Amino acid sequence: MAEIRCPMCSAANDETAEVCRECGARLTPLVMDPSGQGMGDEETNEALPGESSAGDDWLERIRSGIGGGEPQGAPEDAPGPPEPDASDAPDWLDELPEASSDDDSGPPSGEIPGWMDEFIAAGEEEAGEGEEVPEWLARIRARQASGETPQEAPTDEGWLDRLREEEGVAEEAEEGPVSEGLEGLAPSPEYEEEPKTDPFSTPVDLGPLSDLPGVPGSPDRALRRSEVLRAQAEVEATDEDLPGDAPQTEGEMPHIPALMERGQQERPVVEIDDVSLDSIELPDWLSELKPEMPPPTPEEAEVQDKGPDLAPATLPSWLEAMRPVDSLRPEIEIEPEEVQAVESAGPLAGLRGVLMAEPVVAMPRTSSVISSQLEITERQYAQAELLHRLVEEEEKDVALPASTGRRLPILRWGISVILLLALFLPGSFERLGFPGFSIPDVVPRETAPLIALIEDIPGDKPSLVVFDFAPGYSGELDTVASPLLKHILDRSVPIVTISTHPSGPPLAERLLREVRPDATLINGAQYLHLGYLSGGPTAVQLFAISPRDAILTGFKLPEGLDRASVWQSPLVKDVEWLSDFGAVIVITAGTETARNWAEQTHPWIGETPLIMVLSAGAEPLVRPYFEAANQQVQGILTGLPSALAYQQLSGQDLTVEARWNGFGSMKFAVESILLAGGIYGAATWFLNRRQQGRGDANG
Amino acid sequence: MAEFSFDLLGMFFAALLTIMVLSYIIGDNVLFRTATYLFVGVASGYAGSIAYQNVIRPALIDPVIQNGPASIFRPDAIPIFLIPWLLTVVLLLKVSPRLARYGSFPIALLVGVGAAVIVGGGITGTLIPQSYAAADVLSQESIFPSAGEEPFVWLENLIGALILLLATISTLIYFRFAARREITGQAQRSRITAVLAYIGRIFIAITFGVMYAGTLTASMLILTQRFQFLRQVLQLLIGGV
Repeated sequence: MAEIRCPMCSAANDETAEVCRECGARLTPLVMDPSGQGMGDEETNEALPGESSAGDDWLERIRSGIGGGEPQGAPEDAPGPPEPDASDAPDWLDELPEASSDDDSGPPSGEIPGWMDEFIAAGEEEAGEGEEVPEWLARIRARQASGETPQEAPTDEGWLDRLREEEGVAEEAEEGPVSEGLEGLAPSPEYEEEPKTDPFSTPVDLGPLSDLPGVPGSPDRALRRSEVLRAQAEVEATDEDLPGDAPQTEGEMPHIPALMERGQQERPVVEIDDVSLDSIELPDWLSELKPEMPPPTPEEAEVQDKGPDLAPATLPSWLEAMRPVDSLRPEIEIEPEEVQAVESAGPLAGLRGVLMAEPVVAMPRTSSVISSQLEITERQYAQAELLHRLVEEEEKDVALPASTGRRLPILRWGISVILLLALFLPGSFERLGFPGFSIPDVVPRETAPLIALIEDIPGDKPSLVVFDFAPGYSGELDTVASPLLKHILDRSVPIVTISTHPSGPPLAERLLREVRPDATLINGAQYLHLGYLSGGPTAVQLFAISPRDAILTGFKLPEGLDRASVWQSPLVKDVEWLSDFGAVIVITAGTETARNWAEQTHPWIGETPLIMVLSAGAEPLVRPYFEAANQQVQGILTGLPSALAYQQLSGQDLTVEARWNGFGSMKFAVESILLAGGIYGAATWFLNRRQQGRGDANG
Repeated sequence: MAEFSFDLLGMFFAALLTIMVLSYIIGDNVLFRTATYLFVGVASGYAGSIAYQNVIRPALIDPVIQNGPASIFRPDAIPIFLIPWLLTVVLLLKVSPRLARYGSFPIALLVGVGAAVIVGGGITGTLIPQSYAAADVLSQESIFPSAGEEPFVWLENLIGALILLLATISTLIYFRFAARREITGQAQRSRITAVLAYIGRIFIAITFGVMYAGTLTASMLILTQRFQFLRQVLQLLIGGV
């Protein structure tokens, strides 16, 4: 049993199958198969109204000629399209000369359909009118009548014969440039395509579109085909009579490439020169156009000459370098059919191995070609150069400065001597008759409120004193804090100390002993050390929330108190919260520590005043907490002048006065040094500028 | 001549260390380095002993000794005793380079909690109160004189309030670094912003100058106190001058 292979999947199917059993592709055309099966003649006749059965006879004869003399109405089980032979050309092409030689007379006049007879009659009427004949055609006819033509033209179609010859020349010279004047003589696209296509293939039924002019299968197109076939037959008959032509064997085809017999060699290419072109008889309207064309300039001629010299598909070097070869390289991997995806949409749905709708070059992927040149601006380039230069300078070896010998620190020694003299001189002020530096009369405005605040501290509540400074600042802070602590102790307010520095508790013990050197200061009765509070700001917050949970033990506790029971001391037995203290006094030299106490205790301190005893360097950043309308720090004491003023206003002995002369003389010395340094710097700058001005003036 | 005592010996030793540090006047020398190394060592040792006596022993060791090891696993002791123990042990793994990564958890806990406390305290204790204080400068009591207030006092307060407001705004604008980019690519502040930022820079310079002066004053006071101490020791040695 014969099989039909599917054109899509190559699967073997029964010849009667209409669709492939594998991929579902249609095996037979929907309209008509080449063998004439499927839709019968009756249906064709119905599709062509006005075409009589006689018209089918001559067409069937042509078909019979193509089919190698097979009678029309071949058995229905005849094979469809013939299997491809060992030769490349199909059989119908080999047998085409027979068809042209046998039945070249076309359909008999009596068998021409009625609509075609009307058309032919109309054409004859038009040809009979002498006024309607074009001038060039009339001239050709006149020349033929006068016998100028080398061969006799039996019919009026002799001009077609010459045109055929010229056309053959033009076709053989297809590769060369065609002159513009010959464009009108070039065969029309329809005429060019006619021999290339199968002229005897069964017309496709297009239904209503068949009536449209120009559509294949339409009546006018069929008429043109009949005329062409008739003209070809006449040309062959004329060629046989021509003595100058090479003898043509039977079945030799005219020089139409598509209809050339297999094995027949092409005719030699005829060179087209100006003489042959000029010898062509051109219509008047075309001859009038020819002189108007300007002759090409030498440059244009040179360009036209150089044009064809360019090698095809040759790119300039710079364009070749920019061409992303790898990125455009098609990466198509032919996969097995089973692996190929099934098309899911479109008219090819359900088929495997169809071409991808999206071109491979349009698929996004990472290009393996990385451009080595970056597009950067001048500014970026300058910055890159600067960075490169900096890195290079870092790698360079820096030469050691030439040793100029060990220089004595004269300036440092001079300043040291001045400061030492300023420190030792106040001890000799009395001997020298100098009264010393006077105590400042200006009292800081925060001193009086601070004294009043200390006076308001309730005596039954202990005051918490925080010693948050390093031992290096004890020389300053002991001097500043001692009047305040003495004031508190004089009021018999118990003091409880704590520190976030490990060295804080011993400093507290030492300062309290200095403030009250006599034996009246009793540990556990007038003061108590809670000790070291570890944890920084977190511990401060924890202590503010719950002091008993933050402090587990104390420092230098009095006898009778265990380490774990520091809160059993009578001084702090009533303290549960931070607000239970009478006052919180922070003695610190750092702004961070002062700010931590102000921030972390703010929500829990309640009405208890927060007082800061500060180093002079920390005052500027803590004062805003004191100057605000809603004070977070209710009292502030900083610097030796404030301490001296505090002692004066609180009625204490001026114990800090002994340091006032030394502090004053040193301050005077430092100010003198700063002034001298400023004058020296200004004079140096002025002299350098003057010298530079002289240098500029001298060129 | 004073009688010998430990306090007097301590005074002599303190005076000697002070002179050794002051020997830096003539340059870097052995006496200065010896004194600095001694201070660093003593401070570290003392801090370690304080940490043990005040933190480690009462928090981690004394409860075990007093209540026994079984007390660690009591439910009420887990959050306040067992977890601190575990965190301490894990933190000690930092000593081993191979197990150091396990000690990062207590470090992360410390850093995270500390940062949260500082930021929260800064917002509630400094940012909001100080913002209210700056806005309160132009209150009705500050602008208009109160009854019986002297005109000069009112004028002084008003000028002070305006200076405070100008300093606050200009300083904040100085730290505003947003600017429009010109065609040349350079960031350029607007004219008003540039003027205010320049004023803010002046106030910042004044603030740093005051801080530097305060630090210098503190240093002079400390040096004065040290020389008075040396003078007292010298008087003790020679029986009073």
